Amino acid sequence: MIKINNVSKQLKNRNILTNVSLDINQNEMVIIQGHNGSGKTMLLRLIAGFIQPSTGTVSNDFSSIGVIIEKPEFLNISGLENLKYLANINNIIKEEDILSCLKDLDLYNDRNLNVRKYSLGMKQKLAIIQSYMENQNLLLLDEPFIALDKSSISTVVSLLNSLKEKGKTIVIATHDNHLVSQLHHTKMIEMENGEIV
Amino acid sequence: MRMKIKTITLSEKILSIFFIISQIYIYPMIGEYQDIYLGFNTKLNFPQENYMVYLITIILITILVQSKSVSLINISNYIKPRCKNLNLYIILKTTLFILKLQFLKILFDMFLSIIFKININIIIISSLSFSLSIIIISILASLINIFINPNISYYIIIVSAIFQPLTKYSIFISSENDFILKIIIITTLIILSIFIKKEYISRGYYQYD
Repeated sequence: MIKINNVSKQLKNRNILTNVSLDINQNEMVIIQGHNGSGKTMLLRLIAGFIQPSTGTVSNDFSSIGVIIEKPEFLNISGLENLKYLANINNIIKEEDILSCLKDLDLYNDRNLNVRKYSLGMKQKLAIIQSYMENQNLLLLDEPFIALDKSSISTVVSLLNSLKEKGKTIVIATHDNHLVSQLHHTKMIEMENGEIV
Repeated sequence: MRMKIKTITLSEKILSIFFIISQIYIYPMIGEYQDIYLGFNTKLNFPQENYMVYLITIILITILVQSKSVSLINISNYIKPRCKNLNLYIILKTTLFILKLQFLKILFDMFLSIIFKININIIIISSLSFSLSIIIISILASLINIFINPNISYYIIIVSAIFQPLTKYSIFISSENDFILKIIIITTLIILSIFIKKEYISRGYYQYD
């Protein structure tokens, strides 16, 4: 479970988050909506533990977290090598598992292509793969549909719904209203100027 | 909020160049003291004519390092959730990288000892003792990597790894007739630097926000 209790975050004397409180239970799919600069990404970074709150507390019981925050950038090696590099850190999955994930998102045929030659959409799919390939319990996805074409969006939506059915907890930050109805979300929050409204 | 990809700033370039220049003077000095300490009879003079060799190498390495420095970052957000102690991970990775590098350098030393017909034992012992200085540099590089900017540590590791053997072998390439040997050594060092760079990229970079 994630428990965010009255959290505020200031950066350079500017309030990025103000008195945010939120509970996220296991197997929930939470959508965070809001305009650019509303604090969605910062909230995800806070949950991921990348930053510490200025005031308030954040507790996170999940043992493994998959994250997409920031635009998808990779090392200048092939897509498969990038995923293998990340998988080697904890060494809990085999190459077959990675290949299966590449098939899920139609990147299998391009697996040996250098990431430099990937389109932004392909990089985004690679970022999505690294976020769930090790069977992570919690997925924190910042704008996961960005740069994806229609068919890829549909594939990713199905994938996220199926991951939720498998018991994963997923938090998605997006400003795209159209896709929200297709996701099997359990909770939706709206952010504005660093506050939940 | 998007993270800005950080490139090497002007002040960092100046710092790196300063570091490179300081290496030219520091390494032969370390080498000379070390050789005296170890009782070797190989006086490490620093021939004036080799400055041009260094200059060319500096330019080549700088071009090489600069061209790819931007692509090394941003994977950090994928590494962070996978590591309990990211700093320790970086230090271990850097140390492993240095050890790998040392092994490669010993092979390189052995190769050169055959070319120059030098006693192989002296070369290996000398190479191992030089390792101490590169390990200190690797620790410094790790700290810089963590607290300042990974791009600088990249410079430091590459430059140290390149200049250490370059200064070391400068004594053997001081005569007028060994231009081809100089080219061979520089080419080998450039290939070595490409290898190091590849290794360093695959090592995974990290940058604090």
